Amino acid sequence: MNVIFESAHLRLIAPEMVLTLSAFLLLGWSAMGVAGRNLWAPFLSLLACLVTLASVLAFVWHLGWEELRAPELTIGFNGMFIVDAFSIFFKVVFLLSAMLTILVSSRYLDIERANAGEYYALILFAVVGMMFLASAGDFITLFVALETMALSFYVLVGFLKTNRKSNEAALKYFLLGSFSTGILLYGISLVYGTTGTTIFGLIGMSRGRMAMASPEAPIFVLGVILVTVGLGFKIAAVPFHMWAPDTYEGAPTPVTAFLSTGSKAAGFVVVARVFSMSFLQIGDQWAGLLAILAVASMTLGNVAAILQDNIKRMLAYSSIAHAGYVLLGIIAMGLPGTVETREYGLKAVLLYLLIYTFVNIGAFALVIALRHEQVAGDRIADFAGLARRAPGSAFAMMVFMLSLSGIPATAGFIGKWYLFGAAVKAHYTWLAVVAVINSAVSLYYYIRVVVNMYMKAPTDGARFSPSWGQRVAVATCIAFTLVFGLYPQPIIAFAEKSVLVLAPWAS
Amino acid sequence: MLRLLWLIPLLPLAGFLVSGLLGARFLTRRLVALVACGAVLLSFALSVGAVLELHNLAAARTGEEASAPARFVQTLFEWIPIGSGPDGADWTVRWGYALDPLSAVMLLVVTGVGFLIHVYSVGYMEHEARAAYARFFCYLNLFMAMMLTLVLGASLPVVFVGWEGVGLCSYLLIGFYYDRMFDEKTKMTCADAGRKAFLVNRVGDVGFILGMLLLFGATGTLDIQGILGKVGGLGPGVCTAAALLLFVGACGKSAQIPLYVWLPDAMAGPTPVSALIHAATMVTAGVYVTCRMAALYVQAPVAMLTVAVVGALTALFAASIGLAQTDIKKVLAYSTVSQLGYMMLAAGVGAFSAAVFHLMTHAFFKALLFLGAGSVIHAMSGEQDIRKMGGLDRRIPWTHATFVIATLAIAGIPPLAGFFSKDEILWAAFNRSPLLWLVGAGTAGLTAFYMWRLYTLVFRGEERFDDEVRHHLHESPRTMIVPLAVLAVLSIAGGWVGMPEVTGFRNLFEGYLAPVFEASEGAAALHPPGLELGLMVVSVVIAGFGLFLGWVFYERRPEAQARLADSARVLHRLILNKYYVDELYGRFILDPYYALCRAAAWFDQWIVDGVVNAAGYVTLASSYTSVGFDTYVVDGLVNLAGYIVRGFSWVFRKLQTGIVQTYATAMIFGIFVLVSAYLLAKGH
Amino acid sequence: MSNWYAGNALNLVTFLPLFGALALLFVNKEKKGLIPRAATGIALADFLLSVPLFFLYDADRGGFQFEFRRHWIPSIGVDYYVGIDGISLLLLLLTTFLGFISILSSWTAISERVKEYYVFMLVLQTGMLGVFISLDFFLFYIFWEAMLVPMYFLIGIWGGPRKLYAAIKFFLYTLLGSVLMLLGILAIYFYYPKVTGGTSTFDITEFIRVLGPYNNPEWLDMSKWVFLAFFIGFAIKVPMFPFHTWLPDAHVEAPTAGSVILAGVLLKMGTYGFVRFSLPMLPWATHYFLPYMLGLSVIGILYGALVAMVQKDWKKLVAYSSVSHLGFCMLGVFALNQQGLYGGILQMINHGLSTGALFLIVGLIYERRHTRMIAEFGGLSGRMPIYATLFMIITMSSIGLPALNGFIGEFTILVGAFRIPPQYGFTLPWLGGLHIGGMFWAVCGALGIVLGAAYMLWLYQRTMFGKLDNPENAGLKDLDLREIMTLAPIVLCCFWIGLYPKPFFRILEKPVTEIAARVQAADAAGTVATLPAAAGERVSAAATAPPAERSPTGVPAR
Repeated sequence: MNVIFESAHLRLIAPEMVLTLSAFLLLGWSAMGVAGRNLWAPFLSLLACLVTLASVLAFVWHLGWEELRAPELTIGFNGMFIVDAFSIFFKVVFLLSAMLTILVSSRYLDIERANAGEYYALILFAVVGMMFLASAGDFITLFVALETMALSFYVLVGFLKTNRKSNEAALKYFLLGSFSTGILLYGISLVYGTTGTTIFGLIGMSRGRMAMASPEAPIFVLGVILVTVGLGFKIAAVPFHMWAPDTYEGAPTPVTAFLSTGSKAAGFVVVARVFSMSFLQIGDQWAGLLAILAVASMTLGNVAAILQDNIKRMLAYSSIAHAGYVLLGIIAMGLPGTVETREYGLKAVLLYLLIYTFVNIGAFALVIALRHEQVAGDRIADFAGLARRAPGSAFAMMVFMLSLSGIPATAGFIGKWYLFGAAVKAHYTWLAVVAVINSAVSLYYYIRVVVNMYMKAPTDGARFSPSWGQRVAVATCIAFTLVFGLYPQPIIAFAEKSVLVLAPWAS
Repeated sequence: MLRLLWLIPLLPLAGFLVSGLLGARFLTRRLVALVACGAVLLSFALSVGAVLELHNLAAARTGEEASAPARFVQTLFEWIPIGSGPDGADWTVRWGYALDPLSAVMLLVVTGVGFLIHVYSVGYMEHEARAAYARFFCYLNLFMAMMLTLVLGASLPVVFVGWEGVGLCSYLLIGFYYDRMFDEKTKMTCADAGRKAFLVNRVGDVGFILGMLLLFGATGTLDIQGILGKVGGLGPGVCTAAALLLFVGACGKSAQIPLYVWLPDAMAGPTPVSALIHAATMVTAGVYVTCRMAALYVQAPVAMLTVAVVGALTALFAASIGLAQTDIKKVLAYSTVSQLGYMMLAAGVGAFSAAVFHLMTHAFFKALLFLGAGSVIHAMSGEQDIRKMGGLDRRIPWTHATFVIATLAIAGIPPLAGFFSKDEILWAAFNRSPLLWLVGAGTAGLTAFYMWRLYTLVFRGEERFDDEVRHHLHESPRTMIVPLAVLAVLSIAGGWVGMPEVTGFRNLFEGYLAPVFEASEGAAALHPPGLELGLMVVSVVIAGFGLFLGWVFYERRPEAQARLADSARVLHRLILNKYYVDELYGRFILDPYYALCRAAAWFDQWIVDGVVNAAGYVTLASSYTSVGFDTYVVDGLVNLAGYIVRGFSWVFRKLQTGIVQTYATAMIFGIFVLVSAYLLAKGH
Repeated sequence: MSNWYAGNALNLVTFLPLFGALALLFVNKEKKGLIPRAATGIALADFLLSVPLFFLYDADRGGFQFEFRRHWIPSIGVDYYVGIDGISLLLLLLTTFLGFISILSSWTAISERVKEYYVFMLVLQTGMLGVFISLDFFLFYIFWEAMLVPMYFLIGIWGGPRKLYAAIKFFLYTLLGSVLMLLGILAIYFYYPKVTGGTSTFDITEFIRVLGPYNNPEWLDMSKWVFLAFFIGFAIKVPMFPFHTWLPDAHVEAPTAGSVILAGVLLKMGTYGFVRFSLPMLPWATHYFLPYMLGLSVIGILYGALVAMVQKDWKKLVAYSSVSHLGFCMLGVFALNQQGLYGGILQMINHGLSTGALFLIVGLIYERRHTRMIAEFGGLSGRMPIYATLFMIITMSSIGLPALNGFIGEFTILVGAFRIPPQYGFTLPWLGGLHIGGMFWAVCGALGIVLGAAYMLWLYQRTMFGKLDNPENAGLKDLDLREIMTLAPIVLCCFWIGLYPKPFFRILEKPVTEIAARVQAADAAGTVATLPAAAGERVSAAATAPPAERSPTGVPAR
């Protein structure tokens, strides 16, 4: 199949096209000074996301899950672009997190005097990048998509032009991002050099032919390692995490929310995709490396979070830790074992990212809601006495915190349950032990927020009134956390259906 | 009447509930007294009826079963159905009562003497506030209920209920004046005394429980008859262990060495309590249980010997302490310990019926002595120091008269009660070994001596009290005198039921108990009867000599005692300080125990919990380091790098992006880590 | 009607408090008179609702009854599956009972943030009940951990001066234990299908039925680790030495009702866990670790008593007494025979009653004097006779005076301890080579009885006896009717269990017999004897015959 482009394949990227177009429209429309455009921008962007979501689902409805499970029909552009259940799942996640982000943004931007249509356009572009990532079938697509996403984020992080912290954060993010991209690119080139292809599936197969003894094997592995590093940066795993705290703190809070969920999820899409399709056969080798990353991320993330007084920084470290947890799933997938175990690992990853998205954005939404003219609202102390000022919101925040630390009856528990289960199932028990102890430790700093809300007197007298968008977002997230915490069957089923189909030689 | 056996303990319990729930608020003193005494009187009547019926029952029997001991068992309900043993045997513990000659004797003694003392208390406690008055009688009734449970209990756990129950009552009654100081010298409050009693008894109880468990495990039943039926089949090891363990319990209750220390302090309680609980009934529980388990003991000679020796030593030891006490009740307390030693000695040498016999007579005359002492104290408006008394014989004639009788009875002067029981014991002891007899006889002499000393100091000689006391001096009310009189009669005639065979009379008492002990009464007289008579005379002489000495030293030539004291100064001081036993216990048991507790607390706070907190601190510390690395170290490098790069580019100077470089360095470092890790992994 | 009740009773009893709490949320929080009464009403209703279970439970049939089962999370085999046997029935009743009493006791003690307080109390109630009725491991775990949250708030908001420290210590410590337990659960969960080759499930009864007698060496080896994981989780809850140090802090800082629940119910969740999971699911591992378990139990008994002796804080003393009493429970449970289990479980109830009452008693005085320092008191029995009397009764029940509940438990436990296999004992060359097998453990336990009496009586004397020399105590009021009402029911129960415990034994008979049979079927040698045919279903009393080398008498079987 030497044909690079078939018009038939266009339908595969229909949703992305829809979104891209709407993003451009939004950009242009906001560029020409229509009165009250800032007011409309959120709605329009939401609408765009909805339409895209609709088109994605339409696609599913058109083909049916079974087709998508076995994606012969849905591999396009010579295998560069794959639309399978796996990618659909993540596209949904991205769109949802984008919508939630948009919902919580506008009030914040008003306060920051930075409300502009471009902002929403950029978010949409980022989502486009993510969606392409989800479907990337080879390293070229992957790279382009990654850059699309990254560039939008560089701008978003620095969106508060007048805010020095924001600018600094943006620059750090940009420089380190490009640096890591370089490494990634180098890794890709090594892989390409040793296998002669950039298509994930083909790499996997050629790796199958490549004897371990052969001279290029070490180079290939080096390539794998460099790719790992490059992606490790995106998912902010230790020791490639150092950008995260500064960037998370400096960026506009909604962007931080999006960064910590969407971008992280995107990172994991790629990791899952690449490591399952291309590198699965040397799983026993990179699983160990990932285990190191996982332990380091969980431990450092949690330990460092304990001391943070700035909640954005704290959540940054916590997100580092969570990246560590999710790696458990990837590792379980990589370890040589039954297909069932590998798929269990993947399932855990999917489930966890979905849940984490809602929970984390919910938490950030309340941080954002705390922001008003006088108060930056990003210190943990700012939550003092929230239970008196706004019982509902305090309760929500408590639930999110407990969910992040994985207390049962919240969705977070289900996610952790799956991840730890994956580790145990893969007989990586010591890793599971480290993980559970970490999650116990993590309670310590999550509960600090609760302590502030419930056991301290209010310091901030101002009335606490979130915007409608924030209300909707929080309501959605809390509903998700509690409902699926108690009745996770639907999302579990969703994840099960969407698990990436592993190559036949996986077992 | 046997049908109503269950009522006997229940009636006092009802009295306890009534005076306990209503007494303090709603009932008058008279009503409280009526309820309390009435309940006991009723159960006394019932007991008499039951015992008679039992006797007729036994008499009516014919054939070979007639020889078997008459027993009536009444099982009320399944108490602790603890499932089945290893062999599937049913281990259910039932709540039941059993009446046989042995428990019959106890029953009559307890209810009879108990009733008299209740009556006596009505007068003795009249000065108490109403609440306290009600409280006193409610405790007293509870005690009766528990004591009767102990006596009637058909299985060891039920006995144990009474056993601990009487312990509780003794604790409550010793501490009756819970806000008073008992012993100024040692700063011991009445509450302390009560607690001491309870705890020392608890030590004994552990022995009891363990013995109970051992027997349970070995025989698969806790029913006393069931156990005694099976002891024959057990190994000597088990029998000895069980017997000794039970004896530990007996030592606690019956104040034997080394657990006797609580009894003298138990005198902190009101005098009727001392009479009832700490002389007549509760303290004899140990002896009673030992006799109950006679069949077990005879299987374990070692244990028997232990019992005998401990008993003999206790008798002598306590008597010697009694010589120098100056508190009227303390003297009697030590004499009680000594007499209990006698009973144990009897049990130890296999003369169980003699033990029970002495138990009974002792109940009479010791109760009488205590009540008399109470009457004296009552008359002396609370004074207990015999050095501040004297010459009371004319002022309180009734008390005096009865006290003399009791003194002679305990001294063992024929034909009073004490003589017969004591003599029987001595004879049995002699049959076991002359040495034991010697100890016993010596004790008898000492007893006679210190009792006469007591009597003399209290009633004879010139009055040594001030006018204030003299002014209030009065004979006690009738409610107190009548019981004294009755007990006096019993102290005289109580012994006649147990005439030694050699005197030609039939020993009714032994005959009555024989069926219970026939399995156990091993020691048949292996000496000619003439010897028995001879020893009888000897012991009487010894007793008389003791009395004589007492008379000489304390009435005839009081100055002589001082000389005696000097001649044996060390011994005197030793005796005066009760051989420093309490001090030794304090030094070698209590102090180390408290030290241990403090050590444990320290350990808990600084080691066990220390580890937990340390874990927290470690986490925090590592947090500091990692955060410190993330911010400070890196920033340090940043600034450094910042200075370095400042020269090169204005962009870099504006935005201190040295930071980025360092981050980049960090990432490179990360790569190296991974690569090397991979290579290592590849190594193996 | 009764059918309908039997079908839904457990759900009603368990979730009534939760819905009550939700209802309370809609009450204006200024109605400080109404809220406590409403909450008490709910708790009382819950208790009354649970009482019929006691009579409807068919003790002859035994096994799990009042079952209710629905699919919940099919894709991982989780069911909403609840049901109770005799053991959980008693604990359930204890929970509803103490729940009601503790709420009743809070009327005057809690003055600020009243509404939140009662909401948390009721939620906690649901959480604890759920733990005892769950027959699905997943469900169990959810209740097990979720119920930490309200407790955390109760300590953290309404606690004493060091409440934050105590609360977080409690939460973290217990959470650490339970997450490790979670791994154990996962291990079992993933192992089960390998045995059956069937679908995976969280059905506890299934695990017991299949994994209990399973004697594949791989599993035996693995069960050791699972046991340790469970052990950490349960031992911290119990708490067993040396995992107990969260307890004194939590108790001292918690509000009275919190302490009552903590001591009365929470600690039982640990012992319950051992009885319900460790013993029947991992019998071989249980044998494997038996000496250590017994050792820790006994250390707990003595150590707790020693430390309690020198406490200056009334509440802390009671807290350490709990350590000692729970040591008794564990000794009984790990005697691994009928008597031991009987006693251990009964002692859980007894401890719940007596220690719960003791905390109420401390609370009553704390409300009046706002101090718990023992030295502050003395001679109170003159001022507060009713209080003193009730305190005396409870003290006696706590030190195991016969005819009161404590004795029944301790006696039965000692009988059980006495039957502990000889290899965990000693031989005395003198006394004819008498081998004291269980004797040793029995002796240690019995020692605990003495020490227990020592510190309790001293406490009583220092507070109630002596001269009333502290003027601040001169004005103390005796208990009013409500306060009496909180203690009286407990006292009655103490007497009931002490004098006529038969109903409780009846209810416990079948489950205890079965567990004993299961755990005895596996012996320390590492082979698991195949159970008698009945074992799969309800084991009959006859099936409890232990292996031959276990001779109950001190004497080696000859």
